[in-house]
This record gives sequence, structure tokens and C-alpha cells, in this order.
Amino acid sequence: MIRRASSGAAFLLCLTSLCLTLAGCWNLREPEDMAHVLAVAFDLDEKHDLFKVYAQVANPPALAGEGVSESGSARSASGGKPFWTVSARGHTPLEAMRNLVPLSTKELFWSHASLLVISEKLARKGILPIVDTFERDRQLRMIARPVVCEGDVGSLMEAEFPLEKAGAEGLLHGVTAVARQRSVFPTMFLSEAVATLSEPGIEMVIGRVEVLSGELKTTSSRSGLPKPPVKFSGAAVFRKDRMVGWLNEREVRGWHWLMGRVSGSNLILTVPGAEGSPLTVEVSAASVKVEPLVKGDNVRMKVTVKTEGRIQDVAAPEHLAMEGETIKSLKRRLAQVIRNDMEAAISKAQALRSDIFGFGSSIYRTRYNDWKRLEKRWEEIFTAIPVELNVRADIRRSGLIAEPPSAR
Amino acid sequence: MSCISTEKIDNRQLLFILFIMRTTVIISTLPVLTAGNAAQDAWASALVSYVGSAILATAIGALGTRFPDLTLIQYGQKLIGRTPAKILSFVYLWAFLWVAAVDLRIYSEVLVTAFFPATPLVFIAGAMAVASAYAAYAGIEAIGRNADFVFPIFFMTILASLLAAIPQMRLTRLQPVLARGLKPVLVGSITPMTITLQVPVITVIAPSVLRPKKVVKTTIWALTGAHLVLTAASLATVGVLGAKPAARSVFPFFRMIRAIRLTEFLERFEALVILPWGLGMFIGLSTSLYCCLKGLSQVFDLSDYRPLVGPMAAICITLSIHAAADIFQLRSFFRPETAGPYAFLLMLAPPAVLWPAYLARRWMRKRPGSRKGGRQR
Repeated sequence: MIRRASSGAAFLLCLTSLCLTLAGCWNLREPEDMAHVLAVAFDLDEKHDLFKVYAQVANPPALAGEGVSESGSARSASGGKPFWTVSARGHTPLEAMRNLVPLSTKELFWSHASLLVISEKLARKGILPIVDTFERDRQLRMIARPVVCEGDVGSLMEAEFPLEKAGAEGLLHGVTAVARQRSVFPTMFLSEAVATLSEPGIEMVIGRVEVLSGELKTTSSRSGLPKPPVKFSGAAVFRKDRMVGWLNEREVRGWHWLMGRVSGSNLILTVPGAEGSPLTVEVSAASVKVEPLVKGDNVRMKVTVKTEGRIQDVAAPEHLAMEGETIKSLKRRLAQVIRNDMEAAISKAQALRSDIFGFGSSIYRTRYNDWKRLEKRWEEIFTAIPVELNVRADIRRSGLIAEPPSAR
Repeated sequence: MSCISTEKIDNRQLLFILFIMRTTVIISTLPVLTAGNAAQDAWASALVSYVGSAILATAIGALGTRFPDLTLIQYGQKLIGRTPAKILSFVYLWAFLWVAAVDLRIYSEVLVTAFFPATPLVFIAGAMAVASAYAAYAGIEAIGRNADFVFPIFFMTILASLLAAIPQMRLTRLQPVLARGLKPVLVGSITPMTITLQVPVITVIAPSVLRPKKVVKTTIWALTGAHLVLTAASLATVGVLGAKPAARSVFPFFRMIRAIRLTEFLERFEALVILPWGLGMFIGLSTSLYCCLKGLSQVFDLSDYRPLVGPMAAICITLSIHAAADIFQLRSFFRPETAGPYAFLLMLAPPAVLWPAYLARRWMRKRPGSRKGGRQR
């Protein structure tokens, strides 16, 4: 009996000691004392050679709804916004983040920062310090979406979106929504960008968020319509961890074709027989095969893209006769448009000396010995690499009508 | 001896214990990636280390099947005499304690690094050691039943974490396959093989198993399962993070799961990895402690090991704190060139002495008297 009682006591002791760890022990925190950072941005203070950090912090009372707006002081203090953007400087990214602490009434909690904004200045100087901070920190996560900001980072972090409560939410939704329909913005997780950064023979591309005007309130323009604060399009091209230039919308689309990442895009063709009158073809997926052809020092790339689209609108319906020959011609035109996209992207990348398509990586992965030989001169080789572009584009559907509408 | 020797566990329970012990440790640091330089070929290292581990396990366990009712400490005394066998037994007793301490340290490091930066290491190690010591006190039967209970949770959570990785895996990150020759693969397989240092627990547990002659087979099945998980985990980790970012991680599998996001609401799956780690650590630590204590009681001819539980737990906690000054020491210890010789020496010393003794005795006995079976029963 006594043994039973003592083992029971020991058992209870164990259970109790385990319970202590549940509360977080020395790291006990009350949710009321914490403020969640929704988005984090890094900029460079060139004058003092410091990192500048912006944190957009959620303001839960204001996020919750309107009841607070009358009585709650939180809303008025943050200028009526459901979020609060605060910034600080530091010698390292983390020091900058910690320098926010004396400015905040609550403990900043970084685990929910789902957007990482990098200023153009910092991107051009190199983003490795930011990557290091993100990889090391136990709160920051690699599931954040990285973007490069063209324009003032502060106004981007202050931006309010017509359809969203918090600015960061708007940015995050924008980044993911554009990927679904347009393929003009490389949407990815930070983990993907970092994996690319450490892989041989491929350079990083990070999407661009363009700040549309200096004053980013959703004030009415002269027409009385609210202006969109930012635009998600284009991309920053990197060489190693340094940004070297921008891709425009069309070049990013070319990059999407070459990477097999197209997940929705609309392309303008001209109607055969009625030059100058456009029609839209919508593409929802594409596959790509990149084959390196290496003979000694002679390197060529063979790219085969397969896709299919559907006619989604015709601006001059009266001129379009839906018959075998026209469809064939349209397919050829679609293929040409796609080829033009890719050519634009390739020539920009070659001008920037940055192998963003992973041509080198395709050699590294499939012809390791050739890669060992070419690796050192790859940047040079890439700038002049001939790329054979084969596109097989089909047009199989024409929306809900087969014939164009006609007026008598 | 007292009631302890009548404790019995099923071979299935032993299989679960060994599988959980091994998987917990190899998943936590993914040594195929973090030790050595196998990079994207880590999965191949996992397979090579499976073959090596199976051979080692056979070398360690096979002699025990000749003495199904005896532990290594007991049959060692029959083979090479009382005192030499007792001294030799200390090699494995040290191995049990050392494995327990290092496992405990790795587990505490995970929690301190990723969750409780301000909590003293000793508190986390202590909480786990106290719980495990209690299980060791309750005996191998209790540990076996615990393993029965833990295994489904352990297996399902690991499986779920592997499945969650699939959408973000890029198979191209696993290329080029075996391009740098076999050397990195072989070197990368050494450290996971050293974790076979856990396997000597079968030399103490075997007499308590229902079918002791099948212990080696059970062990190899456990290794098969553990290495399949290791292979899948290294594929998933490299596929999601890329070879280099994975290799520079302290806990690659944990970092992989942190980088997974399925939808806006399905993210932050760390629990899927931390839960089985905690459960697995508990099973592993209690088994190691039990074997160390049981062995110790046999060496000193004690009737019961239980009075030793408390002191041993204290020693284990202390050792886990002092096993390495920092994470860099811990990491450099697990490099193939340091961990390899040390662990292989510990693992193989007892069989290297006992096998020749056993064979010599059998040969001797056959020659003059030719009595079949002899006294070994």
C-alpha cells in the first residue's frame, strides 16, 4: 500500500512537472501584452550605413469592427487605421527590429509576418543579411512572401487598400491573386527564393510592388474614384544576392513560360485577315522542357513549351471566320506571341548577365561533368547562349459561343 | 532474482521501442545531411547506412540468441569469466548512459533553440529525465506498453508531416543524382550508422522478450522502418529547402516543416514534428535508462535496480548538460571522423571479445567430450 502511494505521488510529480512546460516556463507571455507584426520591410539608411526596418502591426480593436471607433482610443491613436506602421534603424536587421521595442507599448511578435518587403536600395546592396536573419530567427518564417518595393517603402507599409482591413493583408492578397490570373508577378515563398539563391546555375527573381504615388491615402482622384495604392507587376532580377535590374510585365511573363510557372495569362493576337483588330486568348497552364545541348564549349539550349488557350474575346467579330485555316493561323500567332515573350525575357536577362531561367542549373543537374567545366565562365557563356524556342500552342475552345456575334 | 526478471514484452513492443528510439534521433538532426557532405544525395546515405546498421545490429545481437535467457552481462560471465565480463559490460553501460545523455541534450536543444530561449536547459532536460526515470522505474513491461500507445501517434504525425511537404517539394533540387561519386554518400552514412549505438539495449532486453531468438530479426525490422522514414525525410527536406539550406540547418526536418504552408489556414505544422520528438524521446530515454540500470544491477549482483533510478537520472541530466559546451561542439562531434571511431569502438568492443570466446569454447567442447549443447543452456 505504501509503495503504491509513493509511486502514485511520484507519478503526480511527473505530471505536474510536465504541466509547467506547457505554460512556457520562463517564456511565459500573455496574449494581451503582445502585438502581431503582419508585414516587415527592410530598407537601407545609406547616410549612416544602417538597416532600417518597418513593421506593420495589427491593431486588433480596430480590426475587429466599428463599435470601437466611437469609444476606443486605440483607433484614434493609430489614426483610425486597423494597423500601425513603425520603423527604426540598426546596425544589423535584428538590432533594427529590437530598436522598435522602445517605441511600442506591446511586445512585438514576429511569427505572423507573412510578407517581407525589401527596398530597391537594399536589394541592390545585397539581401544576404536579411536572409540570414530570417533563417536564424525562431519567430520569422520562410513562408513569408518576399517582394521588392519600387518607390518609398514607408508609404508602401502605410498603404490602405479599398477592399482590405490591414495593409499587409492587402499586399499579401494582391501578391497571391495576381499569380492566379496574370503571370506577371513571380509569387513565391521566401524558402523558394533562398533555395534558388544557394543553387548553382540559377539566379533569383523576386516580384516587384510598385508604389503608385507619393501620397498613398486612398484619396479620391479628380474622377472621384479611389486610386489603387500599389501595383503588383514585374520583378527584380538578382545576380547572387544583389539586385541588378527590373523585368517588365512582358518579360516576367516570358520568365513564367520558360520556368513552366504560367498559371493563367491572357495574350493579345491579331485577327488573321484583319490586321490591327485584336482578339484575346486566355491560357491557364503550360508545361516546359529545357534541354541543354553541350558540345565542348559550344552550349545551346532547347526549350519546348506546350500550352493551350481559349478565345476569350474578339474585338472585331465581323472579321473572324471560325474555320480550319483561321484556327491554324491563330495557333501560329499564339505560338509567336509566346515566343516573343520569351525572347524579350531572355535578351533582358542576358543584358543583365543573370541566368534567371536556370539554364546553368539544367546543365548542373543533368550533365554534372560539363557543369564543372563551364561553371567558372557561366556568366560569360550565358550572355551569348543561343536558345532554340519551340512552342506548341493549341486553341481548343472559344468560350461559350463558337461563332462570333453578328449584326444581321 | 526478484519479480523484475519475470517481466515480459512482446517482440512487437521491442520493435516499436527500437523504431521510435532510432527515428526520433535521426529525424531530429538528419545526420545524413548535417554531418558529412552528401547534400542532395542524403537519401542514398540513408540507404547505405541502413545496410551498415543492419550488419552492426546483427553483430551486436546474434550472440544473445545463443543465450536466450541471459543478458550480455550474464552470458559474458559464462564466456570469459566473472571479472573480465563485468569490466567489459561497462562499455555498453557507458554507451546506454551516453546515448541517453546525448539524446536528451539534442531534445533540449530543439526546445531551447526554437521555443523556450529563456528557459534553462537543465529544466527541460530535467523534466524529460524525471518522466523517463519514472518509466524506467516501472520496468520494461511498462515501457513496452507505452511504446504500444505512442507508436500510432508517433507514426501518424511523422507521416502527416511528410505528406504535408509534398506540394512544396521540387524534385529538381535532388539532382544531380550521385554525380560526385560514392565517397560523399559513404562518408555521409557513417554518422547515422553511429546511432546504432542505441541497439545494444537489445542485449539487456532480450531475456525479457517473449521470443528472444527472434530479437535480431525484430531489430532489423525496426531499422528498416526507421531508415525508410529517414530516407523519406531527407528527400522531403532537400526537396523543400534545397540541399544547401537544409545542410546548414541545425534541425533540418524541423526547418522544413516550418517552411510548409498549404493554405492560408493550414500552416505552422511544427506540432507534427515536436509531438513525436517529445514522445519518442520519452520512450528512448526510458529504455536507455532502464537498460543501464538493469545492467548495473547485474554487474554488482544487486537484487533490484530500482534504488539506482534517482541517482542515474541525476547523472544523466548532468552528463547531458556537460556533453557539449555549445551547439557547435555538438555538431562537430557528430562529424563522421569523430563520432564514427568513438561509436564503432563502443558498439563493437563487447562482441569483438565475446564472439571469439564463444567460438573457442564451442570448438574446445566439440573436440574432447563432444557433448552436444553443453552447459550453455
